[in-house]
Amino acid sequence: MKKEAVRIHNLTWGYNGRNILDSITLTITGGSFTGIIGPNGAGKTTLIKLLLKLLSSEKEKIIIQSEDIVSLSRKELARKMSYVPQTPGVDLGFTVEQIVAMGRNPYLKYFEQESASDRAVIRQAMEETQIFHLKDNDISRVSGGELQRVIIARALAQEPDILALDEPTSHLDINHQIRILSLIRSLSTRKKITVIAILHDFNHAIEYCDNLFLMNNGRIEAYGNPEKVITPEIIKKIYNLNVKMEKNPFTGKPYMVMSI
Amino acid sequence: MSLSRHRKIIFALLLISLSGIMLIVSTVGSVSIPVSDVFKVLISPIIPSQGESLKNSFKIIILLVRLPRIILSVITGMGLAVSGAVFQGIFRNPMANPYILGVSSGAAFGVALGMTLQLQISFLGLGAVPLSAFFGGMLTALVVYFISGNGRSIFSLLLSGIAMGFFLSALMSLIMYLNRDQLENIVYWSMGSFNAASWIKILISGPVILLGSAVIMIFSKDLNILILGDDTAMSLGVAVRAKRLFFLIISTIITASAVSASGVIGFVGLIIPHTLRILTGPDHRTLLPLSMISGGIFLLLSDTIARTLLSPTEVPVGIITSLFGAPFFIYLLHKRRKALV
Repeated sequence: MKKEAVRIHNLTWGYNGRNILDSITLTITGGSFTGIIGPNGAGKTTLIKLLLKLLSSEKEKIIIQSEDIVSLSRKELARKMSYVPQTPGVDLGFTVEQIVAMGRNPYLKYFEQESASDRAVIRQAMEETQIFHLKDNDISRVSGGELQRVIIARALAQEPDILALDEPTSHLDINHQIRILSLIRSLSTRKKITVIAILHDFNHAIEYCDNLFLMNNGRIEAYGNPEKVITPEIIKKIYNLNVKMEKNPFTGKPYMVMSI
Repeated sequence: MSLSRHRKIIFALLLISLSGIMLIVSTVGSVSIPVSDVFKVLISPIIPSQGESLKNSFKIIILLVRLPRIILSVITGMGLAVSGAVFQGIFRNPMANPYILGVSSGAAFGVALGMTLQLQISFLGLGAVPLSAFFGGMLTALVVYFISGNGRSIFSLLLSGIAMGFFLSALMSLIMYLNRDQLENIVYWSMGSFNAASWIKILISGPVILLGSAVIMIFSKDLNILILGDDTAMSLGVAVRAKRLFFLIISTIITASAVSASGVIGFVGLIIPHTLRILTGPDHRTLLPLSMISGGIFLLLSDTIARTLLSPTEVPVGIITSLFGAPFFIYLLHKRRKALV
């Protein structure tokens, strides 16, 4: 029995009297690749931000590796879980290596320099994401695909058990989309990192994810393995689109096609 | 790592230049004093025999006039450069400067009010002007913080600071308009000057500015991460709002101390950190110490020009910093643009 990485119990969250999330209950298995899909405004990003304590929630709602996030300090949480935001800002002037090195912050005291072992972690994170050759480049001058890998490297330098990504492939061309997702998949498999990713491409979700949560109007509409979640009936109900499931000749997995 | 050694060498060179410049500029003024005599005056408290052959007037000029002025201008330059670097980092904006929360307009308003009411207060040897400047500046920053919704976002903080600045400037203009006999004093103060430098001011502003800068440098790693934006910084383990408040408080105290000691001196806190950022990159672990020393050198040189250019008349130092600093800054921006193409 695999350990559970995340457990959310009856989480409702909103502001100005409007609920963005409505009694969400879910568990995410350790080491799995979990996708969150759903229409715009479904509450996907809000859910991820609550998990990372970027928005505050009540006690006993979100449990990360059997600890209530309310009682974890930011540094403690940052050692367990790291984040690849949707639009990483361009941070003019820092080098790629400096950005990745910031991933060690949760482990360092004030005024403490990175030790040899910290530097080894930083280097390994850059090698795993294939950006080591860019280490002295200015971050504002790398391409979109490279930037995304730099941000993933920084998240890896946090040595997290859980990696949360918000649409990691938006703004990327199809080649880089596949490269980034394959990278995340292999990290998840090799390093036993639990991956929680908001994805917008259903076929990517089917190919790469072990489990999916389909959100709509702040609720979880369907969950389970991708074949169970992405069905013509559910897609019709939520997106009002007629789709058919075919078979991907390369991987043998289901492939969704749309009637336009 | 070789890079950090490289920076240590730059730091040491800057520090040596600063000491050298301090020694050299203490020889110039309405009375020219040979460098050997300056040196003798400086070591005479340690080796009294060195002071015997000196003219008494030299001792007085060096110890009571030039040295306090030189040290105060260095410390003020250091404080303004460090707090400028912090504000630019916090606001993620190269146009931010130490006065962005309205400290300068608050201090100027305080001074204008104090002069008009002919306030007769003193504390720790400081008179009404520095006291009303310090508290005017601090109070304004506090009000700005509260009206921005306790610094909820850097944008509301920025806009509140600008609005408050305009409001207080208008009030100050009104006071000046209604009290024209104080007009000259107020205007002169707000252009900044070190001609009222004293050991008392150094003893009070010095520790505040130097200790404050040291505390900021201890947390400079957090400042680097804050530049990445609130969400990213939090996900990297930084308690963003608490840290931001901490940096704002310390750098506001530094700025208010600098302003209370010497008036509103513009441009130092804007160009020194920005120039250093262009030259050495945005890492605050390097940026802060280098800005600090460079700010000291820059303001010392500016003040030397201010007191010698039209000698025996004195030009307000704030005029010199912008007059000489702006062209250099434009040159630097131009050079950088070329390098980027």
